[in-house]
Amino acid sequence: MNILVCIKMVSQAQFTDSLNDAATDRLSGGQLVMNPADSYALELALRIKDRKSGTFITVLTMAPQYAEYILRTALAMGADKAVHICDRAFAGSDTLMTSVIISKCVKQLPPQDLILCGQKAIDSETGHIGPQLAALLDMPCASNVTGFSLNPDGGIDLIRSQGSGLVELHTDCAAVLSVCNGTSMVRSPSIMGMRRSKSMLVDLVDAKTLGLNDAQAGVHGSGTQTISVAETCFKKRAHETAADAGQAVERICKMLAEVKGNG
Amino acid sequence: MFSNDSARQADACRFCWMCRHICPVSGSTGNEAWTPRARGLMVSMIERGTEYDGEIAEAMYHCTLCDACANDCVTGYKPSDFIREARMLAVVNDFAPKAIVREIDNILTKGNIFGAEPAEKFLAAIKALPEKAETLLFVGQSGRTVAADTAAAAISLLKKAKVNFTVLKDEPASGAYLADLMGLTGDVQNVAVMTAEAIRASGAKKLCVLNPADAVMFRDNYGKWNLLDGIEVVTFTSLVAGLIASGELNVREAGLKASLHEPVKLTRGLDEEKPLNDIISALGINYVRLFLHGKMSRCVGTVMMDGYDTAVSQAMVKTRLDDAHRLGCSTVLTASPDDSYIMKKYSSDGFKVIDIFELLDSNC
Repeated sequence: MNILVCIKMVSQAQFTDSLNDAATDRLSGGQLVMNPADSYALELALRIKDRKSGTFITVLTMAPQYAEYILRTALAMGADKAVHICDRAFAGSDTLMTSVIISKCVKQLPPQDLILCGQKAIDSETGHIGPQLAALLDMPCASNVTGFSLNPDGGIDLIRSQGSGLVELHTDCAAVLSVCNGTSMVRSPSIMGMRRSKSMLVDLVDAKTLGLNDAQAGVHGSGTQTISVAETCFKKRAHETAADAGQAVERICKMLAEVKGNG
Repeated sequence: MFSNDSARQADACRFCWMCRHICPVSGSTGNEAWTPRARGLMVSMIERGTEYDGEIAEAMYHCTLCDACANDCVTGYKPSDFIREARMLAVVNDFAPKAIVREIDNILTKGNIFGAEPAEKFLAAIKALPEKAETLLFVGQSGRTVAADTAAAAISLLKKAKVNFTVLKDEPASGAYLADLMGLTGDVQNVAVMTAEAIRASGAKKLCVLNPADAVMFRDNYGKWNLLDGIEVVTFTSLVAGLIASGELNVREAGLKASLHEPVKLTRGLDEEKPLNDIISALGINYVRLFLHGKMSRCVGTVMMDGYDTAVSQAMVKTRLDDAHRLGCSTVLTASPDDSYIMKKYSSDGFKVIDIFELLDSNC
């Protein structure tokens, strides 16, 4: 079974720390880590590998060169292969362009039975990549996946969070799952895993490998651009607690009268 | 080589040197290479091309991870974070000191850092305990082996207070020492998962932890990993203070003048100075406080350091006894199995080291 896990390097900096950075540089100012939902997706893939021999996990990221660190971390956790999509031409890509680039890369890999993405990244929080990737690869997609397991009769059983409940789904074919951040423990790299990962190769994929040029990728190829980034301010609303319904009605009437009086 | 967070922390230093003055290792030995800032500079140098080798690793292991340096760091950083990462890299790259490798092997193969069998006194103390009980006393590696007197006293106190409790006969390691030796790696997580399984299998609703180092591990990491859901974790100190307050333990005054050595993992790590002071008050001890107490407590060494460099361990105990002497005390009270073991081991003539739980047991 082949599983591809798309991972993103994110900064744990406070949002306000990155306000002065260029809109395309969200990685400045904080500890660089694997996006939590992506690391949970990788953990779920590794749990499949723990139980099913022959499972081959590939991790993929599209990021600047220094993101190799998180790919090495993923290899040390137990992934079998790492692919690093890295080219200055890709800088400034919006989510659709990112999905196009990743899908082109996926098509160059052996067929995948499962493609896992974190439901959303803690920096941009769009949640676009999974569904867009599924559309571009012509694969079914389930979002908000909280867990999945191999069905003994074949295929994959998965649980999807939907509104106020959970939905159980089953797929017999290859699919893209966008996985929610879970509460279970995500494994850390072991000493042996770290030793092994040191000598493993990371496949570098650039624009040329994917048949793209500067005009087709990055800022130039993207339909959307980030113009500015601003912090949202929430006003704290005053609230009162009434001792009983009668008092509450009286208070509400008074407040409505005040509003009416104001205007 | 280091994560960007460690590199940033190491580079954040403003050279105020507060950590150099407050570090118990450099304070006891005078070795500049063993100050927190020196270790930070080493990380910076490695990031700029210096080879990370066994000699630098030696300095990284000459730290008790007591976090005194973090307590007063103007940048708000925690050198223990990058020191743990440095240790992990030393183990991964195979140049950790031999004594450290031996300690790691001991934990992974024999379940304790000393490579020792459980002490007869400890085995005798747990002999008649039930298989399952509401409270599980987690004794820890020192209590089961080298500090069995402390563990036996703790067990005796719970029996006297008629607490429904038990102790795991084959208690696994919590992972606290292992995390200090090699960082929070997957190996430590595996130990934690197995230990959590053993704790859950005991059916206990409350986990009472004798060694503050284990208690920090349970609170910080088992909590983060959701391994002990539904099980309340308390320190033995706070449980005993509660038993005294509720009258379930009746304490006679000990009539003693002593210097109290506060375990840093308890007072700084867990912010539990009050229960300790309550026990001391109940014993009617005329105790003299060090200037460095509570969150500023000074570490007297660790069992890891003792197995790695006994000379440093001895120097740290000597510094602590000198402090007691200056305060006019010839008796020092300890309140954790680790401190009890280390201080008793290196106590010199003219000083008496008494474990608070042993004292309490003989006064209940």
